[in-house]
Amino acid sequence: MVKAVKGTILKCDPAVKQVILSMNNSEREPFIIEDLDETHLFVDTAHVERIKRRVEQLLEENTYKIEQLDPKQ
Amino acid sequence: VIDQIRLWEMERNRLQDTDAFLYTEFKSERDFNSILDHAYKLGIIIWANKAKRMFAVTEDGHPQIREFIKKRMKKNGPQAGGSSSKS
Repeated sequence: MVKAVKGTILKCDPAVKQVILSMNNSEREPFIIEDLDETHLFVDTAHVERIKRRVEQLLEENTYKIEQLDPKQ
Repeated sequence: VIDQIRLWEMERNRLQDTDAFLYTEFKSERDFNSILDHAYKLGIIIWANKAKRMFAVTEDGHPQIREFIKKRMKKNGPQAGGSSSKS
């Protein structure tokens, strides 16, 4: 039985994926439909803007970690 | 300001979103491979994994795949598997 589900693919690095996974686990209604692989998630489209805002927020809060990850530093 | 631009750039690069249809639960590897090949030819594949027997296509590509699967089922007889679609 082939199944087709509508949603949104999120492509990100593994660190950001972990952030989104923990966000999903801490919510009453999970938004992840399928954990595809290390760098891809399939999620409910209605939650995408909120996920993006949250990830952006966390990246801003953790500026020092980003500095450490930057190969130019 | 440079830091802010760099942060913004990194965020843009770190998270990309694409609306899609995820196809799962293929009955056989043969069905999966033939439908996946067709989707690759149409240039609508966003993500695929043969071991998991799953692939994702663009929203625009979805009707073409749905039709292809329907035709394939008709050709192979009603026992060849079903198709359901949520949207």
